[in-house]
Amino acid sequence: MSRVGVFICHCGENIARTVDVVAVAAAAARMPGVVHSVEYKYMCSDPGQQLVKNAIAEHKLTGVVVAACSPRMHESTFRRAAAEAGLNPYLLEMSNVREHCSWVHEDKALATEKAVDLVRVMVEKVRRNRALKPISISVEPTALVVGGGIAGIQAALDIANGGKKVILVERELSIGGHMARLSETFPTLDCSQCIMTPRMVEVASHPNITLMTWSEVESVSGFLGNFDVTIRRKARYVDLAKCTGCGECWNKCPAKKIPSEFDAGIGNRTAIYVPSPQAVPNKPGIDAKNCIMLTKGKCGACAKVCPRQAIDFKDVDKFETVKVGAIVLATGFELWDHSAYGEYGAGRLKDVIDGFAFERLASASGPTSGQILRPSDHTEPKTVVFIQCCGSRDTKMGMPYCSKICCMYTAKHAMLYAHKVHDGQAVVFYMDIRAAGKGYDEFVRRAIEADGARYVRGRISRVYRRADGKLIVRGADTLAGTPVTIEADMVVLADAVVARKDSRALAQKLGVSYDAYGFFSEAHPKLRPVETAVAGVYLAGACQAPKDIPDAVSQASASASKVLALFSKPKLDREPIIARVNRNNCDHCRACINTCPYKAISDLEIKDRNGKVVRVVADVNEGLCQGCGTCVAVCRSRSIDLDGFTDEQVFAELAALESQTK
Amino acid sequence: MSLIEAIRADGAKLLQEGEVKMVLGYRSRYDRRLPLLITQADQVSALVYDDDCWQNLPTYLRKGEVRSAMPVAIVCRPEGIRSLLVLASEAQIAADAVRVLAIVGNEYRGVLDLAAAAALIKDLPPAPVAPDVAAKLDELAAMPANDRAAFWRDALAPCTRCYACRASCPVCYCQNCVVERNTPQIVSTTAAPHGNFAWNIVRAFHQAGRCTLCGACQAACPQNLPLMLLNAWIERQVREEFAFVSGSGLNEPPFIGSWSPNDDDKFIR
Repeated sequence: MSRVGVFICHCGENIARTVDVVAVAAAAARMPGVVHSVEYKYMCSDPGQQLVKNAIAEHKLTGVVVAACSPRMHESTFRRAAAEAGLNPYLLEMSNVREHCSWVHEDKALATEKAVDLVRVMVEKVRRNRALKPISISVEPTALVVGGGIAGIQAALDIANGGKKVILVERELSIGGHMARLSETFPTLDCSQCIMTPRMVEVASHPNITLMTWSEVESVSGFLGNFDVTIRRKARYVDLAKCTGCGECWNKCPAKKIPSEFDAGIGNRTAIYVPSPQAVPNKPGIDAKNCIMLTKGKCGACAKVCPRQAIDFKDVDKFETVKVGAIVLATGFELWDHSAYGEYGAGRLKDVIDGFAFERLASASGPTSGQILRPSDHTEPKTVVFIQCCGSRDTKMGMPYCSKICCMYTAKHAMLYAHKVHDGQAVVFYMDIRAAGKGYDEFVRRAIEADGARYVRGRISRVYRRADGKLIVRGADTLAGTPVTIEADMVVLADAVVARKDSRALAQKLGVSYDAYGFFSEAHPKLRPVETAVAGVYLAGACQAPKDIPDAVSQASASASKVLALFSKPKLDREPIIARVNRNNCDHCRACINTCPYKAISDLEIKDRNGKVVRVVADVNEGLCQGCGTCVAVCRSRSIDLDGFTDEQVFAELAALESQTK
Repeated sequence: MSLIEAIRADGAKLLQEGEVKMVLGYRSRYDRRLPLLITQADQVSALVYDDDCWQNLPTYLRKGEVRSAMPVAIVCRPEGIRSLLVLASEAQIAADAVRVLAIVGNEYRGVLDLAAAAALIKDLPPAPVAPDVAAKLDELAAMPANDRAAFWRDALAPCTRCYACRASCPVCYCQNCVVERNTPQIVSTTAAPHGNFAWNIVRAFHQAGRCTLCGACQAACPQNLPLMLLNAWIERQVREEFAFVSGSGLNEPPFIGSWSPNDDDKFIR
């Protein structure tokens, strides 16, 4: 016999204004199975909760209905109170008489009637509730960090320093990402390499970090706490265990004219190469597309000179499966390809370069050793035009968003240029200057006032090359309202920050959602900015949206703290709202297995004591099941039910309504 | 050799060689045709086949006496082969436990394994719907939804709930049918219009993408309810909206539980 207690909340005036709560309490008291019914001004307050707790003890309640706000708001509050009073928390249900009733109705009589119905429905449900136990799932305390840029490095180091194991996967030969390519960083102009390389070395030498460079995530299965990730270890053709990084091979390699990706095409590299002298690990790999041995079958110069016989041309991609409890995505961004802009030379003008190319020109470790020399004839440009918002905020190009970092790095470029070319003139074309951040606006002012950069507000209509090699930049000064023509020696485009070309493919492997531009979506734009909608998968850095270094690092540390919190307990409790198979009744038609969106249902062989398979039935994995109920809908023999929302409960709720409407 | 002689010869040979433990065919009793289960080669002379053999024999594959005698050879028309393919895709039979004695029209096509049988029906058009049924389908499609509901309510009202339709259906294999569940009672079991409507519509929905229009339920129904009209109505929706024909291949993804980006989504508003 059920003994249900009903607690009706006024929610101040929120509910009581349109619902006669006293009448609801009186009506509830007459419902079958209800032994106690009261109303109170604020049920969620401490005295309100005490009311519930006392009643559970005093009236020996077997079920509780709290008629108040949405269960999203206070279900956990009241269930905790019930548990404290010794009642299984899943025997308490909330009836939403605020959002579903008082807030959306005006007629008090009708709203009261509806509130009574809502309470009646929930009383019928609670009478059929079963005590449920939270499901405990084990957590593998190892994190996978995808991407070895500054965000990935920071997340990996924070997790590793928290005492947990980390596997860091990087698709390039070296970690470091974009930040390792920068010359100086805004707003302090400290050398990027100087602050970056110690972190890179720390990653490589950290006892808790397993570094996998030249590797990519191939597939992901499993769930929060228990992901199985297959990693493709791409053929590197160099045995890292034998290689000492002596450099004999790349000095000898005859394929020397390959544009270096690291140097944004400003410098060249060989086919066997390390991306930069500061690479971690500082050991080479072979670029199979450009290697003469691998494409034409003869050469092998590197293998001949290698003193450690570390080179193996027969190397193939290998696959490694790791078990991890959490995944941090830190795959970063790329720069938009400005060749779509015909008016800026469609990528054909050698002296129209992107921001990364300028970084490499300005970098002391770059191909020009830090001298600003324009790519076409290696002379020092005396006038450099910087064009901001190249692609960004351009709906026509499909990027209506602001790339966020360009205003700052363009100011930095103008400054670095002024410091290196004293008789040079930097001209910056901008739409707006967006320099919100600690020390940011001061930095831009310094570029203008101390370093003499000429800022012109306006758009460029055309850049073309005159016969003498000068780049003619035509545009408008929208503040002065006049056309502008500048004879420049070099043009630097602040290309939009875009998502990695394959970000969508990676997101699909993980089930992570992404926006229209391919950036990964956070679970909540304000309150859950580093989680994804997939439990156990977190975001760090510019894979989520354009970000500068401080933001990327902050988000990486935030992700790391989420991971460490997850790993702080060996077991994880989760809501027991999952599907349950009635094995006696299951006919194993596999409809549920085929339909389950989480792949949570599989075959279960029922064996006799001799190990002979007697029957096969469907079986729900408690860790994977999300309680969506799709299997319940497709089961023809009604052999699956959802704990907490059983057919019996739902039918009883409907019947309670039906009996009133007759 | 006539069709039935060829079937008898193949059946005897399969049993003698131990290829199968049982042959499922038809026998004659007075003017009726009944299923026949044969385990001895010398019994094959009892096998008959003619147009009165309306039962769809895959129905019997889930019976205990047949399941314990796998592998079996089974006399099947194209609809029967489709039923076998549905059963195989739903893990109810093992594809290698069945040999098909295939009949297409009045022609015997020999002993086929399930893959060969699937290949045989691949090029055949789906079972043609009787002209009067097709005409009625068009008439129903033109009706307003309320009139259509009223039509079905009236048409299904005479049901006596004998469940002969369920017993004759090869894909109605649930050990405990939904109609027999009582916590909660989903379908009323009383032979009254409300429950009759619910039962027949629920059963038809459970056959969506699985019914092969074999006609066994219609032939079994003592009240002569328009069951084939109901089945054909759903089969048409499935075929026209999702380009899906029940049991058209081995290891074909199921109708419910598979999707394609090209699926029609105009019903989403």
